[in-house]
Amino acid sequence: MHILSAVILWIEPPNVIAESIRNGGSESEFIDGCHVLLSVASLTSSSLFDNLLKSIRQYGTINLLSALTSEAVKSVLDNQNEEETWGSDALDILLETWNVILGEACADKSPMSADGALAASNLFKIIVESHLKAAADSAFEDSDDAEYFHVSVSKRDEQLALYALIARAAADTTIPFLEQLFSERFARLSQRDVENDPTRTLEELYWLLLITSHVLTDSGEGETLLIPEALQAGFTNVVEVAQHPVVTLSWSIINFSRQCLDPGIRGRYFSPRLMEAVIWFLARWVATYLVPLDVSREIDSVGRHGSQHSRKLLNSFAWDNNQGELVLDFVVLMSMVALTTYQGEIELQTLTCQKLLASVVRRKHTCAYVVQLDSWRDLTRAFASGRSLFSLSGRLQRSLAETLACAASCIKDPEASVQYLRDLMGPVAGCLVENASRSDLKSVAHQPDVIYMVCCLLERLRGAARATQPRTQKVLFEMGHTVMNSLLTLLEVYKNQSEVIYMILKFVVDFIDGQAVFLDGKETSVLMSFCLRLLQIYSSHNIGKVMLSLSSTLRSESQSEKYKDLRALLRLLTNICSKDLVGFLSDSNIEGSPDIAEVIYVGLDIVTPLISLDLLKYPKLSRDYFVLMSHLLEVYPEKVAHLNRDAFGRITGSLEFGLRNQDGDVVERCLTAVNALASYHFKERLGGRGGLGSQVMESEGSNGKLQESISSHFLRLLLQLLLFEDFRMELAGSAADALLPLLFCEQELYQRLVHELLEKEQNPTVKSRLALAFHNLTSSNNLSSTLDRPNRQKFRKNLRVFLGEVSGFMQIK
Amino acid sequence: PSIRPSLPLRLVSTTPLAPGEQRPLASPDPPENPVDFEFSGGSSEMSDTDEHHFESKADSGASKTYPQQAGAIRKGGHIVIKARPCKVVEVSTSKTGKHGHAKCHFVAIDIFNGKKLEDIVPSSHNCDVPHVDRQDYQLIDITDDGYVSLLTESGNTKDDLKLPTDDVLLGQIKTGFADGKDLILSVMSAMGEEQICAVKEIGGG
Repeated sequence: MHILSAVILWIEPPNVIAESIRNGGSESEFIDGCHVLLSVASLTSSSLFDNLLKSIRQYGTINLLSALTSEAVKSVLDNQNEEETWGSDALDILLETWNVILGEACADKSPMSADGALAASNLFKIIVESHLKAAADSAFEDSDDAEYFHVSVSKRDEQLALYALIARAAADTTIPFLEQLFSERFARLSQRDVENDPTRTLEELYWLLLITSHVLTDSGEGETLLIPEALQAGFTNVVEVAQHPVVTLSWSIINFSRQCLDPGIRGRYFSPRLMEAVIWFLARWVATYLVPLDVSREIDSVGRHGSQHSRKLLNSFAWDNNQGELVLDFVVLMSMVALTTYQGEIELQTLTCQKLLASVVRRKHTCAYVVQLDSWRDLTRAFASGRSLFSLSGRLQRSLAETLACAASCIKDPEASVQYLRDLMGPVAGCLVENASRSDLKSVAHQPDVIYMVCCLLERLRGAARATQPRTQKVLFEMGHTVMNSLLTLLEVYKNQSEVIYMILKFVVDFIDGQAVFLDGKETSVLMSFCLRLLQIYSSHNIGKVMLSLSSTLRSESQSEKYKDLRALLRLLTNICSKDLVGFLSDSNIEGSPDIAEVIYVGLDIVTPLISLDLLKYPKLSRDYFVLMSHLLEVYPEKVAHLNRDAFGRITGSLEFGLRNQDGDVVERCLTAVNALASYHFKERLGGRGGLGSQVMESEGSNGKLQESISSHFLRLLLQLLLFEDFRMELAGSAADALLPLLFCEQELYQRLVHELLEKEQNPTVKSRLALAFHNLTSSNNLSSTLDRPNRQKFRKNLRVFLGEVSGFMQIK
Repeated sequence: PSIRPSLPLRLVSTTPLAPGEQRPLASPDPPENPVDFEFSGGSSEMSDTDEHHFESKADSGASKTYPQQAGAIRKGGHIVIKARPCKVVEVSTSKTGKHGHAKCHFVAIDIFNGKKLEDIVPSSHNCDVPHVDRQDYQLIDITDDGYVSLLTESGNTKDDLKLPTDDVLLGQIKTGFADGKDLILSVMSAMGEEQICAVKEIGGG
């Protein structure tokens, strides 16, 4: 209270202060005053906060807050000068204050006082009017600002959401206010002369749709969206559905939107930008107000009055009189319109697929209804066998395929569900197969339109593969199976078109990803045979021809093309070697089943020569590569260990490279890989077998080239890294895991290296500390000579202590 | 009112369609047992190739460019700008006014001479996409006047290509040839123009 009366002069009266700041006065006191309000709000309940000011003024603190926020909003919108940030700084603080107060009011279930609500209502009106004016003024500006381009931008969304909170605090006045604004603009559009430019009105509507959507709904990707509590509780006087402001506002907007189905009206004023706002609004509205029946039934109707009644009303109005069904039908029709008549409008079409349709399909109760609609059937038919949707960008086709395929899971009858997918994807698969079987394929394959078609088909297959779920897995496997041979043909034909090769690989990756956990033995075998053939063909195009040189225009792009190819290939191999698949192969007695080892060998044979150290400098590629390597070495050390000399040499060379990588994740994986190799070697030797003994590594020694065993090589390397190079402490655990088996394998070498190190040390204090540290490393905590978990944990501790001890004086060398 | 572009694509089908004829829906037979696919290409259609006489692409008069909707052309794709075949290195979209339609701004590199070219096209309009072909030929000889003699698949020689002007490429070819290595030259062709774009050596791996 004292604090407040002290700072009050800094922030009152708001308009006078704001003016003086604009004229060059200092803004710091104003901002500090706002900070004070926020702090006070955080410490008190909302009613207490409001009452604070009443002891020295005739109005509550919330009124002051409201006036301040208005000033801040106006100054932000009037003032386009980027250097003056006081307005937006103040606004951020003030909005946060509102957030705190309103959040509390909700939690306390204590509604705001009447004048508090009035203050909020007035503020909201000013906010909306200011923004509308700003929108109208900017309607003809061409801006490069990314913010104006998208309906959803996180910073702007945050702000709009806070405005929405304010609106909801006085919903009984603010909602009708919004509706009024909409009506005015709708009327303006339909009554105007044909010559008049509607752009200003459209821009105002754009902004209105955004803010209204935030007021009526909350965001939340994938969550069950509830109708905002403030709206559910806020209309205690409403008795009839037709009177409820939220209801009337909703239908007003939706009815306006329906006009977009009329080509004439659509051409006149449903600009792509307006459509985007409408679609975004609808997506959220449908997700919120089409409440599942079982949820709305739970809300008891206790009498015809009071907030319980309006709550129930709000949760069920959308389904009354078949309106919900009509809305869903409209959503599908509108999507069709957006996808087919707004050619080239990628932003709009993306929103349609990924927000609107996805929102309907993801919720079982709406999806189950929608799949029975004629309009949905038209959409799926247009997709399956029509031409109109082929002009969508590749990524959109993938999205659309995924969305349409997802709907299959909501068809209750299993046979109908399977038939739906066959009808949807059968033609796509069939088209690919027919194209691939053309006798004149080679001569037409490289025409741009054929390449485009092939890529579209592959994108669609990818999309469907991503929609794999337990109920749909078998029929999607069937789809993949149908196209397997064709994919091999295309791989051959398009060997010089990296775009197509990449797309084929990505499809297979996604396919395996979706299918792996479900496959039975026979399906796994089919898949493996296919992958083997795929790898062999890919390999035959890429091995044996060493690229010497490229023209300069090709040089940089070729690198990035090879890089994309390889990443897809690496993912493919990683997926193939996933434990889900492997489990079957080792158990199964299916004839003709390829040995998993063979697949790995072929894969590695392809990959290792293509991965140059140059390419490993691409972070994403190197991560994918080392994920695969560490995985393979962990799961199949014996198979990798028996690769031929060159291949194995390449792998260990890349591990060596990776151990010095910038990316900690990569280093960690390499340490895991080294651990796997060393542990395997140790265990084999313990069992009296050769292990990695036959593999040697060459390195430069002081007397010319040395050949040494893998374990000695990595032991030296690891010690070098730990003691003399930058080593991150967070990797100490993994380093310990790698070092321990190496120590066991090369005890003699280790002793020798430690001895040499100590001998080199001149300083006697350092020497004795070092000696002690080494001693403790291998004997503290009763360290024994096994690789079991407890022992490994002990060694990890020891190493951490060791590193801490020596880091001080070792780095200096 | 938005412009409706003519659809640039025709569904490639095995049987030629009469004008106006609709392509029938291809419906797959759901296999009772997984069909046994043999990748040996033993179908009767494949054997037809012997009977067909295919003209080489250079003579066939096949379109050198194809129309494609601007919005569908991505980075890494090809486009014709100012009658030059180019590879797209950047695409950005903007609008003709806030409530206008989207347009694509392409930045592309001429695939033959490396020059940077730009174009702005409404997203719904069609652009020309060049048919870019890459063929590998074995190098037989380098003539004194800077031409190469290449061996084609059919066993004939192709003698109408000059050595490339790119220094590094040129150096590799000359040195490799002088050293007696077996060299493969990749030739890129588009819109009636050809150029050697890469050299590979057989062997290794």
